[in-house]
Amino acid sequence: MVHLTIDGKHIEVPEGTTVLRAAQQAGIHIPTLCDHPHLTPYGGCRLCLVDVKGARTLQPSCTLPATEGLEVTTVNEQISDARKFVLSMIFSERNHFCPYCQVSGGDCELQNAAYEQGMTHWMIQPNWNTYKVDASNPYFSYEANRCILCRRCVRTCQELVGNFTLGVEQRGAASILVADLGVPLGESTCVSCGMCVQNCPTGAMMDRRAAYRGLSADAETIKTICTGCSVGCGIEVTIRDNNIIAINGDYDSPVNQGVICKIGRWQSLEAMDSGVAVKTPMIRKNGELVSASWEEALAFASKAIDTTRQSLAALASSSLSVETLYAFKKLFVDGLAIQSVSASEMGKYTNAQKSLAVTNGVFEGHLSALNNADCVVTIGEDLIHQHEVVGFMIKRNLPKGTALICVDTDGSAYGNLPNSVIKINPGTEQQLVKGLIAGMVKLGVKSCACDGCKNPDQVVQDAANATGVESTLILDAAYILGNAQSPVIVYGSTVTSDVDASTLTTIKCLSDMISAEMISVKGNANSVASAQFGLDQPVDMHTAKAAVIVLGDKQPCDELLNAVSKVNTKIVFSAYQNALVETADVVFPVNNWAEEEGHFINMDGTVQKRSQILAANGQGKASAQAIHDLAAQLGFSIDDHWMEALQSTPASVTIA
Amino acid sequence: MIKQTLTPAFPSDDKRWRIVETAMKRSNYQADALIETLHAVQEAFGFVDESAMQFVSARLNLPASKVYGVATFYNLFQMKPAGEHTLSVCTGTACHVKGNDQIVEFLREEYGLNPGDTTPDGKLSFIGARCVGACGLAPVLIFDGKIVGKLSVDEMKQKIREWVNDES
Ligand code: SF4
Ligand code: SF4
Ligand code: SF4
Ligand code: FES
Ligand code: FES
Repeated sequence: MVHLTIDGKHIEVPEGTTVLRAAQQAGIHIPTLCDHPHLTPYGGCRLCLVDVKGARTLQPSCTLPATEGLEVTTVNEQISDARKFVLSMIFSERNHFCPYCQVSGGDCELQNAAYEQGMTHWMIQPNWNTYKVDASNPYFSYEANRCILCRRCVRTCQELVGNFTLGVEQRGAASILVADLGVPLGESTCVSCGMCVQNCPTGAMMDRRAAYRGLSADAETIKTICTGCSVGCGIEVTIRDNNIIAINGDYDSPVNQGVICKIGRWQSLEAMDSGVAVKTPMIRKNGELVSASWEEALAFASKAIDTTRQSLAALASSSLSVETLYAFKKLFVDGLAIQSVSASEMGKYTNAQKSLAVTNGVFEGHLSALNNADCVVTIGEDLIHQHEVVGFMIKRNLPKGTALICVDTDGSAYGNLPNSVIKINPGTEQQLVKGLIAGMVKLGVKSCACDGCKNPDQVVQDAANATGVESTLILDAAYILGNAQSPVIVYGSTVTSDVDASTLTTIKCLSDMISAEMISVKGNANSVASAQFGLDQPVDMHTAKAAVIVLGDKQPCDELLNAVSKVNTKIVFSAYQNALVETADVVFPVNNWAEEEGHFINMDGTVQKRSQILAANGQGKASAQAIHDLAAQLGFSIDDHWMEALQSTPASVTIA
Repeated sequence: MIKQTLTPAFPSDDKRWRIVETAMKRSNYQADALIETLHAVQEAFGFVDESAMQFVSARLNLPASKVYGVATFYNLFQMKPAGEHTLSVCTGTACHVKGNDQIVEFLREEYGLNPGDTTPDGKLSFIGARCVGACGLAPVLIFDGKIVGKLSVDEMKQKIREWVNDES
């Protein structure tokens, strides 16, 4: 601990704390621009200058470490003049025509800082050079004329996202933010997560959808979660007049610690912006879908279900809330005793773990293990294009020396980032993992007493033959892995779909040997809950006479459309018009993700609540309510003991 | 240190890539070998183009944006094939006031060159350099890597003409 005084206040902070952070902890405000609480200090803007007793010049507090006995003053005339000068320099470096800027009037940290210093104008000529606007990315644009070169975006892209797209070219007055080798953002390695936009203090980075729709002061911000995939990232949604203006990552969420992907920020709004909502219940009459009342539609549906019970199939999206999936299971499995009931993924992401959990109990760890991993092995999962935030959590640690080993059938989507890319023949994950285990034994970095490891040379050779990978590559990876202190193994559908869990058992063996955390990505937002409710069986819809399909706000995939193309009677719950709704016999309008609340179990078992953030329009009901109503029509009542039901089956993760 | 098992191919079968490779190998492919590596590329090829930056980025496991940032930060690195001869004119403050402003003007008028340009016949490239750290010798010109200082404007013009004509 070190002791210092700031503006006469005695403060005690841990060693290594900066003066800025110490002041913030003590409730003392120091204006900043290039500083961001979640990024490493940069010390570029000089707005945070403070007076340090005994120092020759003013010091930037954001990079100055607090030391014993330091005496700091944050307000006096010299400081105030310095800040005004700094701001004048920044303003005149580019063309800040505030009235045209989408953040002007409260959401611009530069403008706010100037008002705070009592500035009404600046005395230096602006730089009349015009700079290019990069509008090549579909979701955001970069307006260099408003850029203050604080590099918050650059640090964000590196330190939080691990994408390393942004950099600065040239130097001095010619400095310009660039992507990769100076290409337009839309043609760069940018993955459109928008974190740079979220962290930009000015209007330079513009969220194209949110711009000019309202400033934060006119809007309300609600914390909730993204249900775009099984990561379950915390988000902050800004709404105004029952419309979503913008979505940002929630830094308070322990799951994603603020980082989100393009699905969470932008794509989850696409259906809301351009989809056609189902407004009322509909019934097919004389070949035409016509509007009906809920009563009529429920009566129609229950009659259809009653008469086709023997050959009925029911399928629910695994992106629906726990409450909905529970009601669905209660009605169709427990109530109507239908055989063919499942959720859309049919166990693809959970089968193997569920099997192994029967004998092993909980064996998978928490996503946060990735933050401290010194070696990550990914097996059969492309974390660049799916579950992107998990990919970010891995990639951002690579510059710190975390080793990345990718086992993949089609090379690697990770570009040149991994230390080792092991491209295997399809279906040979297990042999490869065996090879890694034997490799460690052969190299003497780990020992193993099992039969398989008696002759490690042979096992490595067999693995090399089966996987089509050179044995030296297997040994290199085994060496890296065997020497890791806190390794993490991340795997996905090529391993998890197998009910016998044979590959997973081998991975578990590897993990035990090196004390690795195991983490699997789980597909949709509620795949874990679907599996816990037993909604993970393969269902053949082709032979069914009638089908109940609960889509929620998701679109039907081609596979599903094919599977139900011959089904006579289709009962569909959907928020939007789509190809399945068009061919349905009864349609129930349900709410989209923003209009209904519910719980979700993410890939590492964290139970989270999604809140309702928009009032529902039209006659749509919450999906769970719609199923409750159908159950009532059929003479069943559904309890809400979903938590017990979730925990009654062994799971690979702790559900809490 | 963990072994790197991903080896990008050379951008072409030009033998000079071996020199670049050796430079990187000497520093064990550490990220801080970037400047040295770019030097090696510049020396071997006379310029650092996109394919070179891509290769270096892959080989040193560095983001392309980082390589690009460093390559553009230093005037020494050129992105385009240079002319047969390169003339760097220091435009730092000391050299500027001592007459290099007139040299820049002269190059524009006499040869139609702006900083970064090469004459259409590929004979002469003109680079504008910020303070090269030899202010004591101001005004400073660099002829194909050789520093010449303390000349009057006329002497410099003379020298440039001589030098260009001499070599043509
Ligand atoms: S774009 Fe924004 S965050 Fe990036 S350097 Fe410019 S002002 Fe800073
Ligand atoms: S959107 Fe994401 S990936 Fe693209 S530049 Fe910004 S931070 Fe980097
Ligand atoms: S990673 Fe998944 S949960 Fe997170 S923002 Fe993206 S889609 Fe949403
Ligand atoms: S906030 Fe300290 S220098 Fe920018
Ligand atoms: S100004 Fe030319 S060397 Fe410094």
